[in-house]
Amino acid sequence: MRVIIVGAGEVGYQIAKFLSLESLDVVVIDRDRNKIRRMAEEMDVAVVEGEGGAPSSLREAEAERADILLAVTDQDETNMIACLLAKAMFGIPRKIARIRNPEYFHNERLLINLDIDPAINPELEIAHAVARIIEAPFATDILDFEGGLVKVVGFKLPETSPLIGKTLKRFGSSAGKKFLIGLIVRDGKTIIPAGDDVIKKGDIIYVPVKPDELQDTIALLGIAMKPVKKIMILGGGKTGQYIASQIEDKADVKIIEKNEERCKFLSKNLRRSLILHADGTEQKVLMEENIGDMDAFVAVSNNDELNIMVSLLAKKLGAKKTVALVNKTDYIYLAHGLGLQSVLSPRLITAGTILRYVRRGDILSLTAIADAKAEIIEGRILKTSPLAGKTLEKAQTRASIIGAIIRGEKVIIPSGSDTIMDDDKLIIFTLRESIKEVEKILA
Amino acid sequence: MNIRVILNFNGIVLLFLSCFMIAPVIVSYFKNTEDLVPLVQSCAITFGAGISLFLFTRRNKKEDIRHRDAFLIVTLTWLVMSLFGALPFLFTGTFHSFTNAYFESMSGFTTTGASVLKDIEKVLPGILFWRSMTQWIGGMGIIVFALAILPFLGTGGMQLFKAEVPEISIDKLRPRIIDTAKALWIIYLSLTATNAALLYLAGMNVCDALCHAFTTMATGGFSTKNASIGAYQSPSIEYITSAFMLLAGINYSLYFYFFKGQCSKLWNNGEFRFYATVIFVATAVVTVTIWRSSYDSIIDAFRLSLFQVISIMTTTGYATADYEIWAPLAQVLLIILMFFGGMIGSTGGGIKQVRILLMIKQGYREMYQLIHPRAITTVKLDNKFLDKEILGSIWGMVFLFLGVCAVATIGVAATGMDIVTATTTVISAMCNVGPALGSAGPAENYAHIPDAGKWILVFCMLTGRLEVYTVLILFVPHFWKK
Repeated sequence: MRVIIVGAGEVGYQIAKFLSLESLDVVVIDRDRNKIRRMAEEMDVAVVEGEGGAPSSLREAEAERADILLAVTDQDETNMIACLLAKAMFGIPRKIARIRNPEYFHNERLLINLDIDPAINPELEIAHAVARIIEAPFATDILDFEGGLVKVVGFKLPETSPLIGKTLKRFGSSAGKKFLIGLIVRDGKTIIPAGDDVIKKGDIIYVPVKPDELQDTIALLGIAMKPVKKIMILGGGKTGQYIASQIEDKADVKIIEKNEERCKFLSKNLRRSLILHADGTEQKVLMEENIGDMDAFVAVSNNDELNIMVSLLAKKLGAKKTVALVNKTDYIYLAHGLGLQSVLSPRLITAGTILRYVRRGDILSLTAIADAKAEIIEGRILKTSPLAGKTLEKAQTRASIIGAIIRGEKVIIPSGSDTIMDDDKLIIFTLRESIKEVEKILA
Repeated sequence: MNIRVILNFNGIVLLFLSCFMIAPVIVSYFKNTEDLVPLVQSCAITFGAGISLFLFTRRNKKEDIRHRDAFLIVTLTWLVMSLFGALPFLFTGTFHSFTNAYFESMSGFTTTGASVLKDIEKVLPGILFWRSMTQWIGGMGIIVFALAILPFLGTGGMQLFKAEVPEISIDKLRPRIIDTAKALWIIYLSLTATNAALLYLAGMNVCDALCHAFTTMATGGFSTKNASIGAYQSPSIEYITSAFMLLAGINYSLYFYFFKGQCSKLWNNGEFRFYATVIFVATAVVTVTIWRSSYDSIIDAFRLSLFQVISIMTTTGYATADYEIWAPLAQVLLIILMFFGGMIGSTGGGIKQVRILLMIKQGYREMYQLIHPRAITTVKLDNKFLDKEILGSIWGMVFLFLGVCAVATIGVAATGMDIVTATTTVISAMCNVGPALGSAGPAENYAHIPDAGKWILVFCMLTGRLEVYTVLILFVPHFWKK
């Protein structure tokens, strides 16, 4: 499969790196000679120097043979023109664009006519990610599939969890409920568990659940769940605005923004949130607004250093959960090292979202988890698939676990005796190196 | 520096080499000659060494080959490959001295074609076949071959590719290195097969046709005859060989476009036009020079000039005439042509056509700039602008190339060789041509050069084949610092 990536910035870089490791034909277009050269040095991709929105560079990239075009420059216009050219001149079947301007992004008619599918808005993606973390503060990772019909949640098990020290088989039968672990991360290693694996202290487990059973599941695992009721957001930019509008109905939101005009804009556009015109770098302001009393503190200003510093402060003063937005990829590891739990990078998240849509065959989406060592594959079963009509016991291999079956609107968290039927959608956990195997059984 | 990864890769290369060694064994078996046992032995030893290196250094964790490691891996691979490639020569007693065997092997893999054999026709067919095959393997490069077959090398593979096949611009035929390597080998293989078939039709026996096709497409120049291609006394064989040497000197990416139906890319390629022009002008000058003075018929003079010019310039090194008896003008011209070499991305050696072309353009630009100090000028090739960095690296490469030539010439002269022999053998080795002038001309061989001189030439051959930087970088102290 040939993939053309327009834009060799951080997003393009991450996507290209990932896809080239998957043995796809990747061609990257960018006008910056140095960026292009760096990518050609570091990974197995072809590069074209030229404007992303120019027919000549697309022709040089042999766009007529491409299956997917990913337009990920930081300019909406360039991205849209690249998609338009891809459609009009080269007939590329699938075009994905990064679009941040809401006027374009929410303009369905435009996107449909340009045949952009889907458009990715980095700020919105970040807002979704933050909202998911806030809704489930106990989780290390939480992902939605099939528009939220199934969630995959990553938990770090507390030491008191009844699961620790037991084999999965024993725990499953004693709990008397269908409960399935798709993946275990232990000391940085990823394990696809079998029935006789024992859960140890410090494990992170990934569990597929139906949204309405989430409460039961965490209770079962012995995780204390306190809903987030008070949230402070530092930075009232687009990201802050999107986050606030998503959660203001469920919790009390305070936004700190230093630009007065922006504050006025926010107060017009948000309904319940409290908008504070103040400078977030001043500790006094944060103290006055009871930062220590917050269930969650979210730092999403456009200043990486500020986000990291203030999150550290909030944590020290007693905020229960902190989320910091960090643009510079190099800072992420640093911030983790300083003890911040949730550090989000808009570029990595955008790259991750786009990668979900680079599908092959009957794979609907691919999501990397646990530092990209494992994948969650969402795939459709065709009549011709060797899995169709088999029970799970027979279909399961050592390298993968079927975490959920989606049949129409119904979700089944399966056990060994469930049968796979054609037209089912499966949520499959697998290790990075076994993706090829899974692709084979789906085809 | 990751010794484990480096040794592991060498193990893989030796395994490939041992597979190639099966071919001469088959030849020897069918010809029923006494080199069968030594050939089987060398094959087995190479296989054994390869498999043990590979197994003992294997590690589950995948480690990437870093940019810096690639230079060492590639250089070491070529040294090790030549060592094992020399085994058949030693075991059959073709050579009694290790130096001679190693020289012949290195001369083979680097597609030089300088030989220390005094009487080629006495050597057994299996060995001759192996000797030609070393050139064929070295022509496209065993690492490119390994890359075509092994998918797991990934980005590390690309670093190796770049160290073995240095390119001016990153011009991959296909987005992925494995597909590029495959495409290169398929083109190489099909051209070799066509060449062998034509030579067979022109009257060679199967074995000779294969051997000559191997060494023609690799621009190597080993022949199975003492008098090289001249031994056949057949104009059709000479013209076929001229044509295929010419083809071997062309950038392989042009074939790729050619087969895809983009012929215009060929004619619009500035380097190709330069290459064709140089051959045309040089052939014309040599023809006029040797007509009447050496040959009565202009047709003979043309045929021999064309063959010699192409053979020397593409760095193949076959001969159909002893050009040492030609007029000095023709001799000097041939020596100068050695530097031109093939096009970039071909199997030919030398400095490469495109570098010469760009240096001429750059030189012209400098003078133009002196006339119009305020003019803003750029050096372009095929309507693409080349930045200073690329031009700088070309100047650097050419300087180092000539620098190594100079130092090596002093070295060879120190072993007692005369000026002409010392200078031309070094140039010939650096450019991977083969025959030189003086006492190592097309009708003679390198056997009489003292051992020390041979080792200097071995170094030159490798340095020239890997385009200077890859080998010389190992002599920079910073390379070894952590």
